[in-house]
Order: sequence, then C-alpha cells, then structure tokens
Amino acid sequence: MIQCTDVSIAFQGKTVLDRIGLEIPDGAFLCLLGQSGCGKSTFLRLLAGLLKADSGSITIDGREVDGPEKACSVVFQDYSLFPWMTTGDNLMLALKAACPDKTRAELRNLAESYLELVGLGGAFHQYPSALSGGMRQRAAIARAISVPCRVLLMDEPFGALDPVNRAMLQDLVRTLHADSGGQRTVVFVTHDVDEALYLGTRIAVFGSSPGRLLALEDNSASRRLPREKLFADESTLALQRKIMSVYRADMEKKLNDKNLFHAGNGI
Amino acid sequence: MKILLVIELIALTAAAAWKHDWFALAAGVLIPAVALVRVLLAWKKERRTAIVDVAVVLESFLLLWQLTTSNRTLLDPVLFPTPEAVLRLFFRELKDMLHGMFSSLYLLGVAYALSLATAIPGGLVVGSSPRLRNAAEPFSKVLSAIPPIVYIPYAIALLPSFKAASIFVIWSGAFWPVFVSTIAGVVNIPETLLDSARMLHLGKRTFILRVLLPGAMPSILTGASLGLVFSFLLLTAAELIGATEGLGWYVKNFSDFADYARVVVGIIFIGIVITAVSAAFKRIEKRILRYKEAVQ
Repeated sequence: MIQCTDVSIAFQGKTVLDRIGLEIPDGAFLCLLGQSGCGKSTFLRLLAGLLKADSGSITIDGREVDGPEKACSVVFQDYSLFPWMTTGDNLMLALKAACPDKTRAELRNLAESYLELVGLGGAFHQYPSALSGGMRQRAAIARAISVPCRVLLMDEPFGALDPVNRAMLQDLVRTLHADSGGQRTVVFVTHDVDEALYLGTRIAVFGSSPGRLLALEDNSASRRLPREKLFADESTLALQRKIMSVYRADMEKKLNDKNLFHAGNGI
Repeated sequence: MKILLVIELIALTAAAAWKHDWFALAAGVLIPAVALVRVLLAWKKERRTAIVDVAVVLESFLLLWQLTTSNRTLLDPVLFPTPEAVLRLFFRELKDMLHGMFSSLYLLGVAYALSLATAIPGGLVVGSSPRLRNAAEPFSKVLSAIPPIVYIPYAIALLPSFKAASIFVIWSGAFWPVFVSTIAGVVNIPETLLDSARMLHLGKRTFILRVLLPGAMPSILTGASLGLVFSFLLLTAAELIGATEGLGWYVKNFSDFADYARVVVGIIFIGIVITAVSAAFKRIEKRILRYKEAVQ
C-alpha cells in the first residue's frame, strides 16, 4: 500500500503541491487527472523518489520513500529508453541491474519474452530511433514491467501518440494490469478524462495552483466493461459528468485567477 | 562545366604532346579518367555534379600552375617548382616522408590518446556534479583560451626531451576542447533520461559507462574532432621549432636549405596525411553514432 500524508512541495517559493493526502491500496490502478501545471507529474516523481517533499511523508508498504524507489518503475512520455542502445539492450540493462545473478542467456530470454508480450517480438535489435512512437512506448512498458516491481508509475505515457496507437496501448496496459492479478499497483498521470475512466479503478482529480486533491472517485466497476460498453454505461457517464464538472470548475478558477496574468506574461 | 573540362583536357594533352611533358599528360588524362569512373559509380545527381566540379577546379589549378611555372621568366623557378618536378620528387621522397609520418603520428597518437584518456573521464566526473562544474568553469575558461603554441618554447626548455615537450603541448591543446565538450555533453543529457536511469538502480560503473558516456558521446566527438585539428596544428608547430624528424620538421628543414620543391612536396604530403586521419575519424564517429541514423 502507498500512503501519502500531508505531502507538500514548493519550487522557488511557489507551492506546487499542497498537503496531499492519498492512500493507494495494493493492486489499484490510480489515474491522476488534472490540467497541466497542477503538479500531478511532480506527485509522480515524489512517489518514485526522484524528488523529495518539503513536508509530509510517502510510504510504500510502511517504508519511507527516500531516493529512487526500488519498488517502482517508471514510463515517461518521452526519453524512457536509451536511444544509444537497441530495445533488447535497453531491457537487458534493466534486467541485469534487477537480477544480477542471472546469466546473459537468461536475461536475453527474459528480454525477448517481455518484448513479445507487448507485441514487439521483432524489435530486439532495433534502435529506438527506428521505432514509431507507439512502438517505443511499448518497449518502455516492456522494460518497466520486466523488472520485479510492485508499483508502475506512468507519466502521460500516451500523450504524444495518435488516437489509434493510444487506444491500442490503453488496451495493452489495461490487460497487463488485469493479468497481474492484483500484484501490481499502477499510478497513471493523464489529463484525458476518458482515458482515466477506461483505465483507472480509482481516479484522483487534482486542482491547480496550488495542486490539491479535489476528488477521489472509485471506478472499479469499469473493469467489467469493454471500451464500447463502458462509454454507454449510465454510471460511467454519471462519473464522467461529475469529474468533468470538478475539472471545469478548476479550469475556470485558474482562468479567473488575476495573479496569473502579470503584464506580458498572459495568454 | 563539362565543356570547360573537355577544353582543358584538350589543352593539356596538346601541351603534353607538344612538349613531351609526362606530367601534363598524366594530369590531362588521369584526373578526367578518375572523375569519369567516379561519376559512373555515383548514384545521386548532386554527387555527380560535385565530382565534375571538383575535377574542373583541380584541372584549372594544375593548368594555371603548369602555365605559370613552365615559362621560367614569369616566376622564380626556385620558389615555384613545376608540377612535374614536384610530382617526380614526391615519389622519390615518399620513403623519407613516410618515415617522418610514422614519427609524427606516433607523437600525435600518444598525445591525443592521453588527452582523451584524461579529458573524457575528467569531464564526466566534473559534468555530473554541479559543484565541481562551477569550480572548474573559470579555470577551463581561462586556460582553454590560451593558445597552446605559446607553451612550446617553454615546454621544450623545461622538459627533458623534444618528445616529452611536444606530447605535453599537443595534450594541452587537445585536452580543453574534449574536456569542455564532455561537460557540455553530460549537462545536455535530457533530465528525463537520467531519471529513467536512476529508476533502473544501475551500479555506479554501469551508470557511467552505459548512460553518462554514451549520453555525452555526440558532444564528446565534436570536441574530439576539434581536438584532433588542434593536435595536428600543434604537432607541426612543435616540429617546426624543435624536432629532428617528422612532417613539420621535413618542411622546416628543407626551407632552411631553400629547397622549395621539397617544401611543396612536404606540404602536399601533410595535407594528404591530415585528410586521411580526419576521414578515418569521421568514419569512427559515424560508426559510434549509428544509432541516430536509423530511419523508420
């Protein structure tokens, strides 16, 4: 379980996250939803241990997060893979660090099987620059789940993809999470409400300036429905309306915030 | 352009036949022949045009050289040897010059390898720590701005042998561009990529060798190619001052004897050697950065 209590952080005097309290049970798929600049990516980096909170605490299974967290692996929107290594070498590098006792042949087999799992069986010897954006994200996901980690952190991983690739990768991530049988917790940052409704078993809506937790919704029922049925389901649509209204209120608040429009700084 | 080439070809061949000038005959036939073969082998149209252009410029230069030096009253024959004399001398001197080349390349190789071996690890360490970076910056700014040529007389006086002195001078010339570009390369690795690396919990050694070094590599290679140019500059400069063999010494020695034909031969040979080394460097660079050129 991930437990966040009163987590706050400020950059250059500006509060980015304000006393976030959040509990993420094991096996949950939590979507962090919010407009850009609300601190949802910062929150993800705090969970990963890449940043340190000014106050408050984050624990994973009762242990305080301090420095890059071993229990977590991450997928970023960009630059997850090392461009100077083939996809296979990218996976093998991660696997070697996670399982130093395995032989090269074992690592290779593992890497191949995880690439196979995300539908990239033929890309072992390809450099990331030779792959499409969607394939690169598949490889990044393969690397992230190949190492034994209980928490998968994803920072707008499909933000730069075209709609078809995006839908395919959403299906992949949803399936992988379902197949993990509650063994893996996912925290997924997005600003797309429908993406959150399709993927998340829980949805946390963040408000901006400063980043606060506005709403935490349960969406576990969504997992029973495939995509076509989900967006025809009454309770999902009700949840969508509810989240949209929270989201919109926050956006309007930000637009009306006079402090944002200093001379020459505005839109 | 093609017409020009044909005219020149005819002019040179005619001159050659008239004067039994073997050089002009070789130039008039050989260069167009090589150009023709390369044009036939070239795939792209721009490439073919470029080859013809280069051949025309080369032919024009040789024609001008031939015409101005064959008339002995126009230019001083001691200072301006004929192309034929230079060509003959080139092959006669090749053995001596190759000997000089090995001596020069040995010095260059040792010094350049030393500068890479010090500048790259140093740059990686300094680049990855903001504190060290800030501390090193004023020194690298001032020291890299001093042209290392000014160290040459002092280094020769200070160090026990000419070899040690020139190695030191070449090292100090190549060190700074590589060092500074390694630091820049480390600083310019995208932060997200470093975050990805941190989350993989790599060992320190693995992190440096498989993330930091390749991440900085494009920048390192830019600095290294600049360092190579500096190295050649300093090598020949050092040899002009204190050597007893080598490429720079060859030119300096024969200009002391007013043997300008050999000076010209030496200069041409130096040009060929540096071009060959640079071409080899470019190939290595391309090979190292091959991951960039993959197309979808």
